[in-house]
Amino acid sequence: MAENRTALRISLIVIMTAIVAVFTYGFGILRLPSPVGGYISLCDAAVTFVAYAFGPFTGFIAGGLGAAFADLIGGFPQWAVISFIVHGVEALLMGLVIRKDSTSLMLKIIAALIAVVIVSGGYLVLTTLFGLTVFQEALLEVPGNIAQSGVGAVIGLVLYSAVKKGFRNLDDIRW
Amino acid sequence: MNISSYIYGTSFYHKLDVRPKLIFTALFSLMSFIVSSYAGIAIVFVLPIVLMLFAVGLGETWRCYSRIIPLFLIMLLFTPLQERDGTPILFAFGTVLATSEGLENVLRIISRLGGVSGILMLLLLTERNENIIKGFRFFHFPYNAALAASMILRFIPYLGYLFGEIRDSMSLRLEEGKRGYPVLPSITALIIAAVKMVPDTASALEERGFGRVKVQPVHMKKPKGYFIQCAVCIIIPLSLFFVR
Repeated sequence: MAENRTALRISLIVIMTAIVAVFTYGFGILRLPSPVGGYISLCDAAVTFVAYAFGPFTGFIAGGLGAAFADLIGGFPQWAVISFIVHGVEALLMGLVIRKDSTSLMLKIIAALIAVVIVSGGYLVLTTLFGLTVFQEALLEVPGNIAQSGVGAVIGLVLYSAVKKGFRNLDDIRW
Repeated sequence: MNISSYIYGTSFYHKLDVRPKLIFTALFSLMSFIVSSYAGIAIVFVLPIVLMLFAVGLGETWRCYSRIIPLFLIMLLFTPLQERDGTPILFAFGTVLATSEGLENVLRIISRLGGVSGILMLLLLTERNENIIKGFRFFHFPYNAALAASMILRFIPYLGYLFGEIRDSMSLRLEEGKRGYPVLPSITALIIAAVKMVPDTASALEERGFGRVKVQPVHMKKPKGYFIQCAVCIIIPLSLFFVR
């Protein structure tokens, strides 16, 4: 039975990672080129959905790995590690704040604010710390990251409600 | 739909075994963070470009680097080229425009970004994804993680293709004359389809013996000249230490 759960866990992580990567990479889903390089995508919507629907741990792995894989296959491999940390931590914290049994609007707002702070602050600090850019340039990315993560978090929460209506057994897969 | 960056070729970098290539990529990326001399900066920036030109040609090299050229320009524009106590090297109307230390700082960051991006892209351009995963497994990358990575690389194009189908069918539901597609219903349908795959994928894994069959260690044949390849791939990046 334990192995059955492991197979289910791996399958869930794999498919949710692929979902985050598809949302990040584009494949026809909204993806805008950023004026300072890179791109703005619906990545955070998928990260929020995974964190909310499947909890912080699945969110951390799928959110981080999905964003990293999208960077690797999308031609931005130098950002893969940073994306893994930023989006992984974003999903982890969001998953810890918004529990599924809670419908408090305040918690959802706090979770969205966490997403904004982690994504904009994370990229700002880590790209400078890793020495891949200079602080002034990283600062230029902040407005785009705030918009991407804020809008993404709201869309992610709406997505959860919509998916829950279409697939009522969603909670059975959670671990 | 194909998400692999691999480009078929017969260059020496293509022929290099994946294990020394992984060692070279990791060591070169690490060493690019320690160089600060002009010679070191130049080598970190130029070596991946030269290797890429030989491996995949000018067009593909330009395609890879054209993505990061805007970043180089922004770095040049927004990084001060002069330092208070630096040695002036460029003047205009009695004002110091650039100092040696300021210029070195900017070039170091640009070469690091270019070098790390270039060497990682080179690995992805000259090696198939499955070989890279196999190479990682050789270095004791956990079996479950390698299995997950290879499955992710198969699911990404499939879900991308599935989204294309959903988007096309959803666009038919729009009023006549309207273009585009309803975004939220389309991505909701994609996620529902993906979540429904989870139990089936888990069953497929179990049917293939996941959890029951003992995982065998990875045995990869050592090609001719393997140890020379390894030695070269270690010596070249480590030699950057002497020009740091």
